[in-house]
This record gives sequence, C-alpha cells and structure tokens, in this order.
Amino acid sequence: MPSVSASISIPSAFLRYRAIVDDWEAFVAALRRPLPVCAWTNTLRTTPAQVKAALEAEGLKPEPLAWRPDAFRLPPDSQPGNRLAYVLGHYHVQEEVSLLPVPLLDPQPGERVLDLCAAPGGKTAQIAVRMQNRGTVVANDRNPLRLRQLSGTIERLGLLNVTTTLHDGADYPLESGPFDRVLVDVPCSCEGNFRKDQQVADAFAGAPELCGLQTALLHRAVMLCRPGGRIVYATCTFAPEENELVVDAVLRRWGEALRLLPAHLEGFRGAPGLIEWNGRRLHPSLELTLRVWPHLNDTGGFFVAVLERQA
Amino acid sequence: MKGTPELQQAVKIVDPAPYFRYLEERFGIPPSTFDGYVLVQPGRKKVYIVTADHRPPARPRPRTVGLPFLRIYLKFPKLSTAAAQQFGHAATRNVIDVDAAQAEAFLTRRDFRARPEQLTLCTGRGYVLVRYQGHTLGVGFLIPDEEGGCVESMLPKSWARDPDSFSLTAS
Repeated sequence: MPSVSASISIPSAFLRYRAIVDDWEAFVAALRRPLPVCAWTNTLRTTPAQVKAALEAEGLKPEPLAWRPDAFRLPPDSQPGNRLAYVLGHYHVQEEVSLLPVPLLDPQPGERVLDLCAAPGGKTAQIAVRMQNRGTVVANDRNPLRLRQLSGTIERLGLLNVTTTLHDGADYPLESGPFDRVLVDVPCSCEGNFRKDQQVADAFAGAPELCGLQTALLHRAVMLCRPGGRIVYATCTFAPEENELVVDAVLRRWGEALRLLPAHLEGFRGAPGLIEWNGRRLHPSLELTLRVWPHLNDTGGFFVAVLERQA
Repeated sequence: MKGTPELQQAVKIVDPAPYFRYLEERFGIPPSTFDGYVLVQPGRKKVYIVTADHRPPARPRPRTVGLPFLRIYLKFPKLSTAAAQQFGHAATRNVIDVDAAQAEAFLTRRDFRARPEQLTLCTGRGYVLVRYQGHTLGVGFLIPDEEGGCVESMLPKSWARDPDSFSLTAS
C-alpha cells in the first residue's frame, strides 16, 4: 500500500472547490496519495494478455482497469518505461484519466481526425491505434520540442497513419479541414496533476488569458469539424473557468449548430459538469460533461466535454 | 501505389522501386511486405512510409508523414529503427539472433561481439537486423573478422536505455 502522506498540504487555491466536491475528506485524502501508474496495450503489436505477462515477468503487479481491460494499473513507484516490451512498442505509459477522451471521441478506421494540441502524443497514439493504423490522424502542436517527443511516440509504437504539423492551434488553417473528429486537449492549469507534481497548484487556475486561449482553441476545433462530426474538449484541471465556462462560451457562440453529447464511460465514475458557478447560471446541458475528482477512481483530476456539430 | 490526391498535394511521393529492391537484396524482405503503403519525402534526409489511404493537409505543411523508413544520401540507405521493428519480421538475410547480454548491449548503444554461428544468415559487412526472442530490436552494423564479427549498435540516442538501470540479464 502506498503511504498516505499527511504532510502534503492541500493548496488554498483548492478550497474554493469545497462546495462542489461530493466528499471533501475523500478528495483531500486522495490528493495526498501518490498516483498509480498506468500502461495501455498497443494492440497493433501485441495483446493485453501478453502485456500483462510481460509486466508480471518484470516483477510488476498489473491490474486491468475495470472500464478498460487492455490497460493496466501499476503501483505508484513502478517504472514500466525502462523495459524491453516498452522499447518494442508493446505498450504506452499514460495516466488513467488520459485514457478518457479518445473512447469518447470514438474515431473510426479511414476517417480524418485532428488532434489540435497533440504533444507529447499519447492521445494521438490512442487515436491511431483505434483507427487500426489506417486513415488520417493529423497531430498538431505549436511547440517544436514537444512535437519531437510526439514523433518519438509515433516511432516507438509503429504508427503509420499520423501526420505531424507545427502550428498555432487557435489559428489552424481552415483549408486543412474538414475533419470527421477533432480532439482539443488544451493547455491548462493542470490542477488535476497535483498527485504527480505539487508545484502545479499555482494561482493561475482560471487566468483570463489562459481561458481566452482555451476558448479560441475550442472554437477553432468546431470550425475545423464537419457538420455531423464530433469534437472532444479536455483539460486536467478542476477550475470551472477552464472547463464548463469555456464550453458554455462556445455553445453560446454556435447556438443551434452545436450540442453536447453525454460524456459517459461504462465502469468509470464521474461527476456531472456544473450548471452554475459563482452565482452564474450556465447552459443546462453542461451537466452532460464529465468531471473527474481524484477520489472517485483513484486517479488524477480531469474534465471532458463531448460536442457534436449540427450544421 | 501513388496515394490519395491529398497526399500528392501535401508531400513529395517517392518511387519505391529502388528502395524495395535494396531491402530485398540486403535483408530478403519481399516488396509485398509494403503493400498498402506509400513512400513519401516530407523533408530532405528521410523517406517516410504511410498508409495508402492517408489524407494529410497541404497547409500547414506536414513535418512528418507516417513512420520514418529510410535515411537516404548515405553510401547505403539506412533502415530506421522504427521501420526495422515494424517490418523486420519479414527479413530472411543479414539478421542476427542475439542473446540477452548482446541485446542489452545493443539497447544501451554499446558494440558487441557476434559468434561465427550467429552469422549464418549474414552475407558480409554492412547493416544487419538485430533480433531478440523473435523481436527485431533495430539496426546494427556488422564488421566481420576471423572470430565472428563486431556489431555496432545503430540505435538512435533517443531510443537508448540507460546502462545503469536497464537490464535483460539480472536475475
């Protein structure tokens, strides 16, 4: 059992969430525990059973996720990256909550899919694998160093259907579209990463410039998506300003042309999105979004909204 | 073989015939291994391999398209580590099956000695595929001598494991 460190103090910036967390004590206790490690199977190369056996042979203790049996939870101090099967691209190491957006995006073989803020590429890889290494994944990032990390992920996992581009996502050329599906995993204040990195909980959660960028990225994503296509917006922060408020602003801008779909994954516990924050009423359909508090599934924090462009 | 119109707009399509011929000569990889893929050249030094139904944008200009396949403008084109791992299973020549200590050396970017009996599939000096437990690890460079040969690890730095913490031989 990982030790519970009572010495880790909960940032004062989190106190404002007291009113919206269902079980504050459990929330605080979860934040003080180290985060489990998670590895998912590259089914283009091998099977979940073989990954499980390889991890066990290394003395690790893989537990299949309840909601995704091809992915495994490992104890917090595991180092699955430094193993032969990892070098061979048989699995990828990624936090459990980072596995949420791609099944909700539900990309299909042969489609054109855009990952607007893609580096370091773990979600790009999940998209490419789900598409059976066929069709088109365009993975964009505006940071050249991080884009190189993404290329490393593509190469190790053997992905043959990904193009990378270096561009400002909020200004991504419209002529590149339309896309059947767009993932917008925006830069955020990363409060949900607190269990990995206690430095993240700085005071910039909900900073106006950041929210402005997030809104611009989501708006661009909708513009790049074909009518009838799907857009998934994700962050790893608790801050409503970066989550529901961003989606609310874009919903208002698009009116009838955009609607929310339920963000639900069987076997994974989430809380509904907020429909009110600081006395401000939001679009009622925002309760269809998914809020992930760390104590619900022993993970990091996360937020996902699934949108469909109507026209 | 030509790829989609979008692919042709976005990136230079490469005639694969000379490259496939080279891979067949050196490694015995049949060209049919690459059915369903197209070779493209988004930059200067590398040829990439991508699924034939791929439709990338022309703008923004793609940085990479698919998987690095070969580095060209060398005396002999070098198969990338990614392509070796992906397609190495089809090779029948210039393949060396290594033991755990040799595989560990290869993955930590150290040269290793190959015994004569490990070189039965090798035709001489040049690139070889390094295989361990049936998995292609990557590309080495074989320099044969009287007692077998020396194999240089051509594994890129970004793929290399740290010799202080990576082991295939520890019990």
